[in-house]
Amino acid sequence: MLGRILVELGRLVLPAALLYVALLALSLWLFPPATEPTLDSERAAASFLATPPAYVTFRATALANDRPTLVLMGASNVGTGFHTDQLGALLPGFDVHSLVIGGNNVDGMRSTVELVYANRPPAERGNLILVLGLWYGMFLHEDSNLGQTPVAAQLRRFGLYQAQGEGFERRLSAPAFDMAVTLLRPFVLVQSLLGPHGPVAQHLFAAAAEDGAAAFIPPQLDSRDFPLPQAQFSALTALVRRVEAMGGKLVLVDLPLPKTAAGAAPLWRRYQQAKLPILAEARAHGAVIIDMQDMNCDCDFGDGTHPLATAAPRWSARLAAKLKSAELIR
Amino acid sequence: MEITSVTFALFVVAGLALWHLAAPSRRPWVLAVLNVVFLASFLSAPSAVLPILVFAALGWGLLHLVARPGWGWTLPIGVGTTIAIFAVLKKYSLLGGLTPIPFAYSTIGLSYILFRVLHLAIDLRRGDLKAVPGPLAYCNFLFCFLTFIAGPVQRYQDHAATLAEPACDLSAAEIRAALLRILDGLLKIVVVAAIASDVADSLPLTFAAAPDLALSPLRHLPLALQALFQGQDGTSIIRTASRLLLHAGAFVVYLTVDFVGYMDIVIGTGRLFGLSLPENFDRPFAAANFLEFWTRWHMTLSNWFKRYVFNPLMMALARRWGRRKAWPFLVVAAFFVTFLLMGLWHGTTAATWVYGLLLAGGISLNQLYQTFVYRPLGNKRAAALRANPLYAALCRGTMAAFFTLAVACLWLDGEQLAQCARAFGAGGLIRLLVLASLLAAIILALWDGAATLAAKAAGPLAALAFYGGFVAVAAIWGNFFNASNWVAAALGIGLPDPMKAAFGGVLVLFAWEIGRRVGPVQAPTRAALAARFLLLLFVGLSHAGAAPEFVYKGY
Repeated sequence: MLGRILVELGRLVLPAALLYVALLALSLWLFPPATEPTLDSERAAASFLATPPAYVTFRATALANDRPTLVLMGASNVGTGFHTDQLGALLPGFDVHSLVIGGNNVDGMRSTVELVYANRPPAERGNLILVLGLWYGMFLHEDSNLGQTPVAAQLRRFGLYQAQGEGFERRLSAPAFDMAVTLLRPFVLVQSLLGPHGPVAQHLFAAAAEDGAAAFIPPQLDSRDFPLPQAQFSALTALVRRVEAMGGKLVLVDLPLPKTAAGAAPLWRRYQQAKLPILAEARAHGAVIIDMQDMNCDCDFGDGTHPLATAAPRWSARLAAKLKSAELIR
Repeated sequence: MEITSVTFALFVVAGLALWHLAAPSRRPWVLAVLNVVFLASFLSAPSAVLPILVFAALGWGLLHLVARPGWGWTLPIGVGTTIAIFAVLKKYSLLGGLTPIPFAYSTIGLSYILFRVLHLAIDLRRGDLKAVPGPLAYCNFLFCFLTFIAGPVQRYQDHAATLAEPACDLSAAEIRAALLRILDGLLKIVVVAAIASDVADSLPLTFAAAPDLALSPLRHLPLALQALFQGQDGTSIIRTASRLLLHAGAFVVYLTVDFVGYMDIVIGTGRLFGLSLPENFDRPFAAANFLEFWTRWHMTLSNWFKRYVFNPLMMALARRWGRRKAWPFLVVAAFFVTFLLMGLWHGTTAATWVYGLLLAGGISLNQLYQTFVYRPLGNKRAAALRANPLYAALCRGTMAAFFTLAVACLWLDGEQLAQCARAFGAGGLIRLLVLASLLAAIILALWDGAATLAAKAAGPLAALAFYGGFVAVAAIWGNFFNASNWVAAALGIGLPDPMKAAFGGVLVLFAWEIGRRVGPVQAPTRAALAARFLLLLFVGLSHAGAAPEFVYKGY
């Protein structure tokens, strides 16, 4: 009977094995291995990993070194406001990575911080700077749920990371991890091809993408008003303490919003009050707070949240200057 | 070694080679080697296995004592001692953290070892088992890798019979049927159970914090509905109520599908070894009431409790208070004790006491209802009542809702249960049960009706639901063509991705339901098998890391 079992197993596995090899070859042809030494989640769409959460999670071995490193984290407005090339030019000697995930709240940034720790050895965190962008929209979630963030979902895929205490650990050495990710290419190829930024979607929805290009749109006033939930403020306090315990310098950037619209929103006003004790506590636990809210000219924003590309160099210049004045960077 | 892992698959293939190449007389030794490897894979250090081995050795000693002529009196003492040692090893909270063992040790599979030891001892005493099994047979029974972690709870007599004469001449079609069952089990765990678990995880519950409807779509509900559930301060907690119901529902789907999938894998694997394992589930939510539910859910566990707890207890009670009029109440008492013990077996914390009391209370109420409602009606009218579709649907709904809410004790801790009770109060909890019963009745009736209709066109519809379901899951997990955002735009509310993926998961479950109604596939084609395997690889495994650990592993 063993022979019959092996024959049936062979017939089961062989087509899948052939398909796997074909998809691996196709993936390597369509998406050649990346060569950039730093991460920028804006490049996720062009990679075989397709989405920013998958891109940062499975390319995070780029953080596993001893070079001075600055990591940008936050929601999409951090990505549009700080460009890694512009910031990198202002901070010579530093590797500048962008691990920005669209729609991130504080939980999302906490997962990204844990991803950094899973890849950055404890001995090499003295020259690690974690820059987190904050705005009031991050604090509207009524719950804190670290298990359901986009990066946490990726950390659980394929079993390449495993939960360890409050965070995660990488189960393979950096080279072995990168090899495993290469071998997993066929499993994410369909996602790469059919994902929202994949070549098929780009072809089908090219016109829509052009229409959606950043341009000045009069920001709409966010007229909602209710007491801000406490969950994400508590999550921020926990994050600050986590960084204090695990190593690295934490920088919290209070991001600007367009003055006449979002700046007048009732929830924004509530946020101005609610953030004060949280930021004071963060400062007491070693975090550096950078206030950029004065850079709120409506003319610099493409919508109610995102700065235009023309404003990005000034954002980077302000951040670099503040980091130097805080003596985080000499 | 997780049963869904590649490691386990390789272990099984190697085991099959050893098993089928070995002479029949050597196969028990092959099984022993496989059991050792499987058990060792869960251990952090060699010493971690010592308590389980000592427990098994003490059990073997007990069997020899019980089997000695005239030493039957040792059975109650031995059973009591065995259970006491078990409770200490499992660190029951009742014992106040009493842990005489000064090193970390594993208790994996210990609960099932307890069942097997007690079953052997009692059967020896009753004469159902003629002699104490030899050391090899005893160890293979206790540690059989197929049933070690979560059953099915097989009787020794059946285990020994299938091991003595394994069906080692399966045809190619029978082998494919076994492989299909394994693949379906894997798909259930890594796709459907993973989605259900994700849905539950996406709904964190905070009973203590003040509720806030500002960001919830429920704020649009009429005020009268919002007022259906009110906290102690009079504010609406309908959002907490709806989350609790959704979370509980998702957890029950996860628990059921995960467990059923696990059984599919071990039973299918057993067939490849030529070993026959008992079925453990038979569409539990098709049960008409809570009593019937337990003849369909974890059936081998229920049978164990029936054989070794309920029946002896019933006989003892009947001997003591054997009057005819007392009989219905004796049944209730025996059910209460049996299900309280079954509930307590599920964990070591205060929450499992609540679970045990709920199970015991539910089953007792069901029995009393049958006694005081059906009996006065007489057989004919009672049968007519039970056949009434609306009544039957409400009974099923109540059964499903009660079990779903009772099982919340397995994922809420004692403090959360207390907060829940304080937040809702007795009236709120009853309203919650009524609402859940109505919802469950409607869902189950719709499910049944749709499945009955679809089964008439089984082939195409089942295939469409099966593959369409996987495509829907993959589209959300991979956000194909921005599918996740499109769904959110279409619904007008921002649902978490697991809830969107749940639509595909339901379709897949529906396809299995249609298939089950049509009848089991006796000889799946190689193309169907290959398609299942590809789905597993390219849909299931891409998310496999997110599949939670098997829920019963802790036992």
